[in-house]
Amino acid sequence: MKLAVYTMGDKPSEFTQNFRRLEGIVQQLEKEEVDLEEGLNLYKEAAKLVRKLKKRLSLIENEIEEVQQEIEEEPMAKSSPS
Amino acid sequence: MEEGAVFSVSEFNAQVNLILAEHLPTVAVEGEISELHIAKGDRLLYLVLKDEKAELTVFSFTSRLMGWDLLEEGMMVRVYGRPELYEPRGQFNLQAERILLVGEGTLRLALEKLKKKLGDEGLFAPERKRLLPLFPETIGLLTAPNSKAFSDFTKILQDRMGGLKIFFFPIPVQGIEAPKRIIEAINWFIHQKAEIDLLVVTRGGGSLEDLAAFNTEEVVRTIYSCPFPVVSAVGHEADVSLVDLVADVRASTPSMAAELIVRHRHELANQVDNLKRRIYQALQLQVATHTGRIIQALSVAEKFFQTWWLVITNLEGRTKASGIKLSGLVTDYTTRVGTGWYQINHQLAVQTRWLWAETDKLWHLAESFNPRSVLARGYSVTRRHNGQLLKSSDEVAVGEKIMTDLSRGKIDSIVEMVE
Repeated sequence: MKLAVYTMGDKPSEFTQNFRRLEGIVQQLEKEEVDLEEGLNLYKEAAKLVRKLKKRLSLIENEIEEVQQEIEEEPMAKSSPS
Repeated sequence: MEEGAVFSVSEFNAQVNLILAEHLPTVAVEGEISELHIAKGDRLLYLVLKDEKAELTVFSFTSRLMGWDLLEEGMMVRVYGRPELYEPRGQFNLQAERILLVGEGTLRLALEKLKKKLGDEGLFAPERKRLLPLFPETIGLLTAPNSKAFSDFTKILQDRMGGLKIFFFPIPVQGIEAPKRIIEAINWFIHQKAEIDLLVVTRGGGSLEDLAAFNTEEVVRTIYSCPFPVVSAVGHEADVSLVDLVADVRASTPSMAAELIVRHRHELANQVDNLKRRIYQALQLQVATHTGRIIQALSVAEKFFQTWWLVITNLEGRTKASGIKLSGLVTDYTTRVGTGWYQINHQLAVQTRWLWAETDKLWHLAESFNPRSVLARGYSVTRRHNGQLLKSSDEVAVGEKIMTDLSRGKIDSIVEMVE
């Protein structure tokens, strides 16, 4: 089962970016020593991220849009045996 | 016999073609390939179709028939085309526009051939499979409308996560039109008529013939060309179509596909809570470490001071014996040097100089633990309104006035919350 960050060079979703940044802050605080001011700033940033992430997770409904096919059809050059 | 019109040969042949065009413009004829010839450098295809009683010649151009290279003698096929008389020779044949493989045996054979061909090209290579995004927001869905696959997929998706946008492109999942429509739909997504994070292609179970569209070369190649990851869930667990092989991720059912592409909101929420907790703990640990170090350093300084005091009192005892008062020693030192005291009391002077250097060091050390310097590094001191220093949050109540000393300036505040 493959589940990981999108690696095709496209922009990952906002949720993914925020989540990864939060993980980054955790790693920084667990591994390095920070001075008090930096520590507080990181904590503030983390709190903001947590709020955003939780907010996104609280959305309930999915929107399903059925594609209306365009009238102009491209000419079919080949027939396909199946 | 009636006297009717008398035709010339060419007139007659032409007339037959007119009748054919009017009454049998297109037909579908099913039979077994008894002979197969490719001529003119792979451009012309000619085969003989037969059943138990009769034969029929079929012509076509390979450029019009995708997958002509899969045809083999012995296969059962259905030919869609136009019956025609080749006028110059009066020969009857069928001009094929499409050739459909028919029957389980034929389909399996062709499938294996195609699988090998595409596999050798590297279309199924594991290295090229893309990873799925952690959190897709926009999802493309290709399946039959009003199908169980549609409802299973959307229901499980809805159970797990909200706020998603799904672009649903309804397609026929079997039948002669299916491959063409599937390709159209995929191309619609590729040409960014909608920006999707991934595409889901799915249909329910069926016979090999039902699933034929998902074993078509052109469909497989179109999926291979998708710039976004493709998740396929075609047929049952046991049926593995070529679309399943070329897709980035294969799911055994539409429900499983939904589980693979989004995490459950509760799982993610727990992870976020975990991270939050770890940050809080890590910060607490950092503050504790800093505080611990300060306390440690203070006790070291204390010891220094004690030792120094011992040295002073000792020294004082000894200097008293020789008639020199220590209390005046440090301040008089620089004046006495000039008058020769230095030579006589060289030893003492050396000792005093050492003492002076040590005092200097101790002074700097003490200075760094001076509350003023601690404050300069960002710490602050908070007191209750009566001046009492606060060391614990349960020494104040909500609503009380407190005063905070900073490195520069003071702040008066009112307690809002106590944790």
